[in-house]
Amino acid sequence: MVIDAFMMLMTPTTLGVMVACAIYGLVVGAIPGFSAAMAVALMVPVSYFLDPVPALAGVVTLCAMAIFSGDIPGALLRIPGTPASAAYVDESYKMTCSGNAGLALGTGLICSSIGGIFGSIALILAAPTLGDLALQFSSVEYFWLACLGLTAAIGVSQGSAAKGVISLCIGLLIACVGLDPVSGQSRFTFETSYLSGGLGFIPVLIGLFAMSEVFRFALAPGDSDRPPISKLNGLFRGVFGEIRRLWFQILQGCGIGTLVGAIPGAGADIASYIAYAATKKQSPHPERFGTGIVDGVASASASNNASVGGALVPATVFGIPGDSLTAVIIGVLYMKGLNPGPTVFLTQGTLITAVFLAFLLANLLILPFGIVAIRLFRHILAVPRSVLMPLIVGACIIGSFAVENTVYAVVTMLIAGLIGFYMEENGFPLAPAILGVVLAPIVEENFLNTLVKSNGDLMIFLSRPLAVGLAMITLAIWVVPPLIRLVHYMKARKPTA
Amino acid sequence: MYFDDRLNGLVFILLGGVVVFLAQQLPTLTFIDYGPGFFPTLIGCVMMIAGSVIALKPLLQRGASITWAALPRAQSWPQALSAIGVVVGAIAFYIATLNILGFLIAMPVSLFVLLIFFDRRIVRDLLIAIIGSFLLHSFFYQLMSVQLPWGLLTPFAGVLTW
Repeated sequence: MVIDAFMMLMTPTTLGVMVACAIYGLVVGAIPGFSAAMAVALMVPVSYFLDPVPALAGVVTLCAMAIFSGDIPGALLRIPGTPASAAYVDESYKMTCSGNAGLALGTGLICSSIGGIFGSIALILAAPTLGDLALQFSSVEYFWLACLGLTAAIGVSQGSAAKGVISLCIGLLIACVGLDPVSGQSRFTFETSYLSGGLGFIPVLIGLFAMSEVFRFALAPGDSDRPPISKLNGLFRGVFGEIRRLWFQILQGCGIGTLVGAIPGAGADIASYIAYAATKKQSPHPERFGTGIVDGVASASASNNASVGGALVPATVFGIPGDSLTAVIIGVLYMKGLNPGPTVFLTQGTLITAVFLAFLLANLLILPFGIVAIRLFRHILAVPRSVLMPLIVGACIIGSFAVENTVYAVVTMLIAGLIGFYMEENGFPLAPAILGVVLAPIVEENFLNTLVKSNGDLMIFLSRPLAVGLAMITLAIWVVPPLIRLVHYMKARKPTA
Repeated sequence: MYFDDRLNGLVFILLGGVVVFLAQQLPTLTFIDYGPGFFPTLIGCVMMIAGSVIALKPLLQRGASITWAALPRAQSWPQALSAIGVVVGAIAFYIATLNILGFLIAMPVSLFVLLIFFDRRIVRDLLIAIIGSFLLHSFFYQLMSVQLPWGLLTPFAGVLTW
């Protein structure tokens, strides 16, 4: 099966698409303010017209490249290209200021590749094994698993939890428009034929991630003026010595990234923050962190790339996205007829293995492509945003139109863009919304189907050991943190009483 | 474009209320008390609760000054709204005229409006709008077979297709 999958990858079309996506991912990831999810969102309409293997190979390549290239403006301009690079942007920029840009970027590049390869191997080994376990899942377990995903989406969203809940509700509501998945009843369609089919996932996605960024630029175009780029020389000088010294931290970063990525709702940005904090905590000289040392850069950049592989595990095995990036990938999987779930390994085993191998290959390709990207960064950033943003609007319009072949899709994209703009400006995280769009049908379908099976008896949700385990984990996420806070509060009050 | 959380919370309390009201109009399934309205009702209720939390939080912080709405930079509201309006207007123009004018007219016009608003270099912007639209058309229409309307240019479709 592995050889067949490898041969599926080794076609000129697939390799060509992977190379094109690699270049596109590196360029978009390197432009400050553009997230990897936005890059993938704009790529989805193109993947619609490709065969499954090149489409999916292209998307995973794009993810890997965009996450890495976010490090480049972070190190040279102190502006993280993607949120995943934000954790160590100060560290790498201070290294640049002290004349060690080559060391910062070289270490980031090699560690990104190591992290990505680690994540890919974890994905290749863990996904089919978990798939076997998941075959025992019924609609009850899927319901709890999706609830766990929704819970984690709120739990790990940055900022106010209430705003995370609102964002999730917006995503769930978007998914409610159209025909009810169980009864076929129209919901929130206001008797229009376009809404009967539901709001298109791709226009919503493009609107939330890409169009919202255009509106933010329109409001404050001057904020994107860029300082001059520091001189870059000596790439890889001293890098290998540092990697040998920091092998444990890098490995730890890979492990943290893979595990955090696999938690629904957590993503590359959270993974890199945790890896950076863990390395700092274990360091014999934590006071030097933040002054420009390579230790934090190495583990965190390995971690954010490893998290993509980790996030693909629940995405492919259960159809539960690890983060907004994998939520988009799940959309592409559905679009290409590879409905995620344990049966995908039985029915489309070769195809899904080819996707995993493509991800592994993409992480190997980070090295040569990354070197070129670092060298060409000056030119990428030279394109003025005043020119780039209108072209992105053009890509958003045609991307939305292309998939549904109707201007209503452009209307959906525009409204989603305005909603995304309002949300971002007011501190509502976007990731829970897109997770809500993906998870809503899974939660609702499994909930109602289970109740139909049990004639409305709610106790069926606690009738199987696996379901009880998942329910307990879900409830623990809600109950344990407030309990811990209450205990701390009580302890703090005790001496004064 | 920041709004005070009291306003944000109120918006979501009202939205949640509307969702619950609309969801209550939907029928239930034949044998059980749940139906297509159950899930939206739940979402609406959660939205109202979360909206209340957002709205009430600033009320508990006594003494803090209230800024109902603010802009990210020192600019006037008409300036900010016109910038948003230009983007919305350019897309709305495309939506309204695509089938009449065709992609190769509607897209360059929309792009040019945006380019001239942000970039303010007539010749360069005109060239980018035309070349950019042509490249988008070539990629999506010729390579990806997306059925982009020709509109007024239908008689020239054969000439303009390579």
